[in-house]
Amino acid sequence: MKKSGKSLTMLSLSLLFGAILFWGCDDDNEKSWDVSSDPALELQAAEIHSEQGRTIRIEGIATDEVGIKKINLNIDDWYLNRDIEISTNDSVVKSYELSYDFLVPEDAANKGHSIQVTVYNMGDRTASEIVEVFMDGDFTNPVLDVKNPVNGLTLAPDSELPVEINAVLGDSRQLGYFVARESSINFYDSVSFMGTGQLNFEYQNIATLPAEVGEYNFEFVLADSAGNVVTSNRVVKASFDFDKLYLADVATDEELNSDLFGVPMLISKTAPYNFEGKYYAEAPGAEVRFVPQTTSFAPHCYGLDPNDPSKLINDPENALPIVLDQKGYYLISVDLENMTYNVESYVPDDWYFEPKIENPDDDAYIETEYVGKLGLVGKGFPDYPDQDWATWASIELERDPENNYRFYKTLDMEGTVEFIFQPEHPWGWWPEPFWRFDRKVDPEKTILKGGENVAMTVAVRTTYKVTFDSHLNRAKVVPVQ
Amino acid sequence: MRKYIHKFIWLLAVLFCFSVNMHGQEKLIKGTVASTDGEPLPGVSIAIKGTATGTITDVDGNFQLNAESDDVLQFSFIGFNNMEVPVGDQTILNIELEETFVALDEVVAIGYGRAKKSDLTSSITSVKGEDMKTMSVGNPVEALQGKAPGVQIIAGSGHPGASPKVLIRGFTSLNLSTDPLYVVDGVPMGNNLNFLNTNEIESIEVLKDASASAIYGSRASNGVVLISTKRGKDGKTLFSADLSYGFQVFDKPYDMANATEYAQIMNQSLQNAELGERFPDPASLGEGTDWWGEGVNKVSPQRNFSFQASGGSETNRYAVSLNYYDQDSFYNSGNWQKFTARLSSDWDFADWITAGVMLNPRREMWESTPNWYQDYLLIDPVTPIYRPSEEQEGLNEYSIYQRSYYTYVWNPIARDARQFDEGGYYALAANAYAEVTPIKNLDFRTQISGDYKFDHNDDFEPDFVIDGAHEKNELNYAYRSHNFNSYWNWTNTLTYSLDVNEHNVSLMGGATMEKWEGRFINGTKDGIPNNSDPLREIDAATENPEVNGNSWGNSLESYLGRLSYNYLNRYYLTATYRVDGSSKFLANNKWASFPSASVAWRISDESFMDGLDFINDLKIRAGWGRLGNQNLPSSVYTSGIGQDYYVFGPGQGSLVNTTYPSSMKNEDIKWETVEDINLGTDFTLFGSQVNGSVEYYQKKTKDMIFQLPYPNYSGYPNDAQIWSNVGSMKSEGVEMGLNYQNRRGRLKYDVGVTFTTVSVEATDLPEITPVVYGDEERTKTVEGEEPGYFFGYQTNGIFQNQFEINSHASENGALLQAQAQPGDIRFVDVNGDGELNGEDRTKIGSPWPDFTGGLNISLAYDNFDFTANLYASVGNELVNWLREDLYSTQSSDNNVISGLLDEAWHGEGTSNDIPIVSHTDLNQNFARFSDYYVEDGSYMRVKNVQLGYSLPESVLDRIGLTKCRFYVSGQNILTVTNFEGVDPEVAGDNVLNFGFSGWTYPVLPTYLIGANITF
Repeated sequence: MKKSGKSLTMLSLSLLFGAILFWGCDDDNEKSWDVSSDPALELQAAEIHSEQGRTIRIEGIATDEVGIKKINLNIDDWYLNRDIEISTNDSVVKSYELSYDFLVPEDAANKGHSIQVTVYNMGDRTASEIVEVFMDGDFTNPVLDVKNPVNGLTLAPDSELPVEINAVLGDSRQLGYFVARESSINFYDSVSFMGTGQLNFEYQNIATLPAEVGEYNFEFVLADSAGNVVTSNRVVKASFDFDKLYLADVATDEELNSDLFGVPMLISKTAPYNFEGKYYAEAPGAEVRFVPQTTSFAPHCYGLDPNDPSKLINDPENALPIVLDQKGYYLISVDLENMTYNVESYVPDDWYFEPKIENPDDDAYIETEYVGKLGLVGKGFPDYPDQDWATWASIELERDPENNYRFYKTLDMEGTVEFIFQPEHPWGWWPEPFWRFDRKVDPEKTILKGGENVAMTVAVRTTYKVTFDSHLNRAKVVPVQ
Repeated sequence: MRKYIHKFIWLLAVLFCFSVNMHGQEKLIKGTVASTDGEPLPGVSIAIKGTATGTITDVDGNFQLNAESDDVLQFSFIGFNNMEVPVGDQTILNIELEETFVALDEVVAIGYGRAKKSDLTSSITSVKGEDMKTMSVGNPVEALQGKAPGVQIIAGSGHPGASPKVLIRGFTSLNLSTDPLYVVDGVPMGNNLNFLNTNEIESIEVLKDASASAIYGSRASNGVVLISTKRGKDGKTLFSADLSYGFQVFDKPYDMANATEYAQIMNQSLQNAELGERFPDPASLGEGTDWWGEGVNKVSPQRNFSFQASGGSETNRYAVSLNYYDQDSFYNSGNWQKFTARLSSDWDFADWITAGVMLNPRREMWESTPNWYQDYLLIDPVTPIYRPSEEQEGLNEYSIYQRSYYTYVWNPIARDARQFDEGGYYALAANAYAEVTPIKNLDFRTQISGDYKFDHNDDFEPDFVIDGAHEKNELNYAYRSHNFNSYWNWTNTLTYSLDVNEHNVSLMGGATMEKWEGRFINGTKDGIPNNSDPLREIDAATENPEVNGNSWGNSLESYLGRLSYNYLNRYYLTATYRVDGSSKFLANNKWASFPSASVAWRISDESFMDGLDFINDLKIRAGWGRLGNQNLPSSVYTSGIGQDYYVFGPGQGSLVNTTYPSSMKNEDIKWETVEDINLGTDFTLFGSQVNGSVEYYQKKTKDMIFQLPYPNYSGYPNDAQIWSNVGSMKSEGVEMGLNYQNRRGRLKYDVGVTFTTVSVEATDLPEITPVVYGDEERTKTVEGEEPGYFFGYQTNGIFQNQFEINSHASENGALLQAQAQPGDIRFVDVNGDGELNGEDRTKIGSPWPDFTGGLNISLAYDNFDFTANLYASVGNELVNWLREDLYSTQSSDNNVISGLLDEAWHGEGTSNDIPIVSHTDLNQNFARFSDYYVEDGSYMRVKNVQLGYSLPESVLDRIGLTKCRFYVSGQNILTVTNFEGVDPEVAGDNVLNFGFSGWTYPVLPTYLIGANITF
């Protein structure tokens, strides 16, 4: 027994020794390569003109007759010392296309910077090249701000229509050229700034449209001296059939413009020239008119014809408002072709929001059923520092005691203001239903369980009244005097 | 070997001595026979070897008989080793008999019957009640930890009234309960043993393999635990009392920053996030508020009292026990009390008829234990407990507390003050049986059992305003619920036993009927005039009344049979068959059958083993069986209606509150089936000093139920699902139990080891959902892998500088973590595609241990005894969610651990573990679920050490007691682990979210003193 035990020990030691020898000889790291030449590196560009905060791309081809082990990119100033491992002992690459992106630091000095690119072959022989990176690139597009005409401008073609063109041009380094054109009326104008060193320019001109119904596409092109080009297009319609019509329940242009959004209120187009709008009169005697543009009662404003109140008239100066006698909901339809209108009051019977908050301390209830009171959830409300997209700190809306669809809240806003209408939840969950908006900026209607968060900038702290009507799917934010 | 030679020589010498004195005279021999503990043994048989002459000891262990000097006296008594003593010159013989270490003739409970332990052919572990009562625990299962191989017990939580998670040989289901079936005195009693006191238990048998548990059919797939309670025995009435009093200790689990350090950490965190400094002079804040010290008691008492009386005559036996257990929480609120009584009586009316009854009234009461101890750690230490006194004017008593200045943590002391949730139940379990033997060898037993339970729960939430925005309850309210649950069971069995020419046959057939019913009602109302105690009633409230109520019921009808056969007590065969008809099964699969078969071979009785004297008993066995899991959720067999809002109508449409079909019942649904094989051996070695068993098991689950989506063409909405029997899994492992018992002089010792491995694999998942995620995709289950493994990102230390960040890029230079800054965690691009995204998540750990084991030591020296129980779980990982709470200030001003600024990264080379402290976390150090949260979950815990002292007999005689023992013990006093969470005993709701550790109420050290008195 002892003998066999000794034999077993010897056998085990022999096997162990043999195994060490076997695997020892096969150690990948110890494999040697017979290399007699340096690798080759050909960069696509030895100079790159860039700027702070911009990604550069270092491109080139590395070749070696035996194999490329790795490529090193090094620039200490920019904290880059990257090895790109390319070949292993089992997988050898002889030609490698280098294409490496790197973000130039925001605080890079305004000078030339050298990136050393070094190729190692399998024998650890190297070849190096330098890529010089300069901070003088112009990658900023020029700024083209076409003030007039506004996109979608609709003009009634009673006679030839002069269209005022006004564009503000700017560039960070040097303006190149500017073109304004509308091919169907042979309108073309251009301005060259090359060699002038001009950074800003205000372009003004007038194009004349014929007295006929049509649609005109104005194109504006601005280039800087480095060839960065921006374009802008404006559609001007000569028509009486507007794409959109808004209900205005205010009297002045100032009131049209002082809101954050929601005034005037978009109504629906049901057929060419025909619009229909639901509206809630908060008090008896509410006065409404209709405008196709949002910032002014001119050039078009539809109201009652003073000479025939059964008809409409398009006259900013003389059109009278439609007066809604009672508090409540109205369905108002207008026909801008036949200049007729119809007003009906109604009582909605569709679903309205109801919170479920009966068991505020029952965890199972909170988890599965709890829907808190409807509120504002977002940011930009200095009186509510907790409210930063926190549903547990939802700013409760005051519900109209006489109208389950209406919610109000008067509060201060400042800075970047974003919000949605969202039920509160003590754990910060996001119970449904919620309402967001048809677009982030200057929204025109609310969207149930969809849409986008409204985002605005309020430069100076201001008190606003938020009004939300879940039946109309409309909201507005107007300043409180 | 030399030892045996010595013994042999001594034996020869003794024989020689006797031989020279072979012509003795008859004389009167007197003496006593006692156990090694000094207990007199009545009824010991004493015979003169080779003759029919003999006697037995009297009630005090005394005997006398006439014998000659050359006679040899043979002493024998059940449960003790036989002993032979030559008479020689002696006239007084005081004999001590040693207990037989392994009672092969011990009878243990099996399903619907009892059997000799030596005749078992299946895997059954038996633990005596005496071994259970060494621990003072709220739930008896806790005392089982480490004592039964194959049984994994995870406390999960240590709060008063907590129920541990029990896994027998792992688990066999992903979506259904994994709790075993508990059967108390033959009556299935649900999945929680809180209602039992360890002092009531005579023995626990764990039926682990299918051949043992298939007799329980459609409820047995997770194993069956049989509990036999104590019943009366012949003899004079014995009174006993088991009393213990102790206290738990809750040390502050983490050293949190004081006010000055908190301010320093916040300033640094804000600075690292390029935000403004908040605290211009941190030192001026001093120590601040010690929330833990003010709100959490360091110790909480625990009391466990039990009084028992038992006795009877040959024809009538009775037992009575009264038990009380009480445990407080560490807060001002929170307590759990239970009172149980158990009265049993058995009558032998005649040789052919026996009957008995048992009554078990129970009462539990609790005040809900708060579960927010973390708030005492996380609230900022700058905030005082109360508002300034001038601000308290006019506020009610629940509103005088200060809202946290900087965090959103609710004032925990205020929460404790308004905790009024309390509940409890009254219950009565009863059973009655009769056993009739109409003809020889035929036994008929009928048993009727019932359990009736009435739960109640009251809650009151006062109105308070601590913070108008988020910490308030403007309307107080009262809540009350009442539940009533009932259960009855009627079981009849007929057993025929035959013993002919060493052929032993037993045939049992039976039928059971069971029914569960329940109904509940609860109501709540808001707006009580004030918060005073007398008004905390629903009728005192005025607003928002709400009432809920429902009822339910299900039933089970079963037929069962068992054939047990053995030849020469050497070759065994056991087969069982059960048929279950359950109200939970729909018409297409109303009846389920569960067969099993097992064989055993006592190999030690074979002639070819004759030379192996060190083997006292050796048996090998094999078993197969099929089990079921009928704990199907009610949504399996009911169709569901969902609710949502949709826009209908022309134009903009109108919002309509709608209902729609969200699920449909599956007419073909059936139970999950587990097929189980078990191979094992039981052995007793070296004169019964060593005994144990080693087993291999394999369990295959098929027809696992999953919720599957409907195909699009069905027209059902996207979220509509149907439960279906698809998928399978396999678990296998090895378990071992080994015991060594001996004595050396007056030292008697007993060392036991248990060892269990479990390996689980999902073998087949539905084609339509081949990947099953759990816990918001933090666990994953795929075919060929263990279920519920942790699934997330791999990390590779901390970025020490910008060079490392810039180098952590794709081959083309795209930064993998473009938002990272030095001090952030480096995540691994596992799939090497040059992007860091969800595709890089991989297996980062497993909550399932490689093995669990226990070490149980008992020592006795004269009147002293010592017990130690250790338990270990090795090889698993756990998720430590607290890393975020303790180390992160991202978007949070909660308090963090003291010393964080030094421990966290704060410069190159300072830490490769804890990331930079910052209010922003653009790199998602903490938001990404990664192996940063995964820690080694292995641990070893000293479950119990106990030192006892029994008063000597001389003292007992003077004070009139039979036994009086005092002890001190410590439970859970030491845990060895690398896990940094609160407690490594982490469970989960189900298999798919196992091993996530948060702020659970930990298992705490308990120190006790106690006494066991019998008279």
